[in-house]
Amino acid sequence: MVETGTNIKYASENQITNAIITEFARSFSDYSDLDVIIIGGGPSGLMAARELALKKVKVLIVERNNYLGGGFWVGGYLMNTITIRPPGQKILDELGIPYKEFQDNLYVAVGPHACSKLIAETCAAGANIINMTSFDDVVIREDNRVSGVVINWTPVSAMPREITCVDPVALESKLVMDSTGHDACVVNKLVDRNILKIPGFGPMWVERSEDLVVEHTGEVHPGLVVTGMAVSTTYGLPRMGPTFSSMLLSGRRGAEVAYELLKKS
Amino acid sequence: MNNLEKLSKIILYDDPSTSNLKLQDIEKYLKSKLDNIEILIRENFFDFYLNNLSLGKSKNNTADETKSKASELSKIANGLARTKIRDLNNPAKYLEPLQGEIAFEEKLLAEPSKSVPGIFYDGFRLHELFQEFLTEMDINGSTCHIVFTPRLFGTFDEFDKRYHARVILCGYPSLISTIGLVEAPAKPKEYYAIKQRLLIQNITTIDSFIPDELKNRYLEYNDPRLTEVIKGYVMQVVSYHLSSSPFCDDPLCRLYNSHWQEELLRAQLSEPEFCKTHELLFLEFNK
Repeated sequence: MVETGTNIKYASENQITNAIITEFARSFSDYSDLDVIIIGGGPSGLMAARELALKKVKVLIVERNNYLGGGFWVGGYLMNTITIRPPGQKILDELGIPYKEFQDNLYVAVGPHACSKLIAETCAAGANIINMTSFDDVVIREDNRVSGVVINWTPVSAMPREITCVDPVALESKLVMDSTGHDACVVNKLVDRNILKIPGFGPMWVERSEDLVVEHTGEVHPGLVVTGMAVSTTYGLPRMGPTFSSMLLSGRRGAEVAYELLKKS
Repeated sequence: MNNLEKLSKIILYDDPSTSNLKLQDIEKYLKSKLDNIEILIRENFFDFYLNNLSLGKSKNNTADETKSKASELSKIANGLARTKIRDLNNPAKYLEPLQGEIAFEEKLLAEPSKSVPGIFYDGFRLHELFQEFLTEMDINGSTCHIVFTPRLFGTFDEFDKRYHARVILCGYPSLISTIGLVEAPAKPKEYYAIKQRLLIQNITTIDSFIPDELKNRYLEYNDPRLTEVIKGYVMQVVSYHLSSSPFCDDPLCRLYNSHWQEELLRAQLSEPEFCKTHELLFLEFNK
């Protein structure tokens, strides 16, 4: 344990800057050869990244915000109690997240504890993460296969174009995963390009939506796997209340699908 | 129109996702109501089709034969994905199914004991699909096919210009939706008041908040009363084959087309079984 009053050792500003640039550049250079790029670091994206990294798959999460975790920090109405329905609590057990039974078939956990633990477990599994980076476009190869993504610094999109004429960069991968929540950014980019047509919100009933999200998690277009609430947007499933079982289970299912696809490729 | 002399065989196709559906009980009931009629019980409709493909009959399937079965399964999955309703107010809206929607149907076909969650299918398009896969040897005017399906289907109502969920769709074959029995007739109004209050609080686990007294007034999934209720719907199909009309206007007759769960339970579980007219119809068939 570090004692209080111990002098913090000296490093110059130059050394600190050099350490940041060198390490970031080394990591970024390594991203040129990826198995899976996951767009979105919410609960389903983190869960998928953890599962894949545990299987030694080279995976990168691209997160547009400074923070990871998406909506997993808070439950409904910005209150930080999150709710989980069986069998989602089994994943909490695996991740070492404490929770308690609120009533039959409903568990509660503290959002910040659950979210930070999921992030820590994902990092510990070996997933790579690049934050403050926005998805800009898809890389398309033969037969309209999704083969990578175009990304840029998030602040670029928030500033006037005449000030920030910053060209993006492209990263290639064997698979891309859309875990961007209801925005379904990657799927919608294919829709914009007339490569894919999606139904929009359709006539289904809300009680079954958690099951449906997990059941529909998978490859929606060659090279593109979709997880979490992006599944809901893609297939026109109803929006759900703040229960996170399907997000975690969908992430796990997405990882299983991606792993099988990688084995075939 | 009268078809009393023609009906000689009824084939019931199982829905293995509904464990309280007891086809042997329905067979016994039909035999008690209809004399000189052959009743056959078969596995799930699409399993029966796939297991009786001319190439797939041998126990020692070659790779080509297996492939043929796989391609038929894929064809059925594609067809099912195409029958999904895309817009509750517009039956003409059509969209090519997504890869994931076909894969979803393939998974369900491979596991018929799994329930079909939350998808709403167009009844007439679904019916056409089932018709396409009726095995040729069974297509004749004297055989009535009754398919129990776990899929929820609806038909578009030209009067109010929207789809409505249905329990039964009579034809060749006739479809009875085991999910439709639970979801199509409306539950008591108190149920929806509780549901609305819970949804405002973002609570979707509604069942645990419903008092038992209220639960008794509607059918739940795998309800113990299911088989008894279904007997009446099977008789609606029989009535359709005998007289071209499946329904009765008398709310106490088992052939009553119930729009509320309480009407359904009263028609199916209380005496008398049938009104005088339909009692006579079945008696005349037995002469």
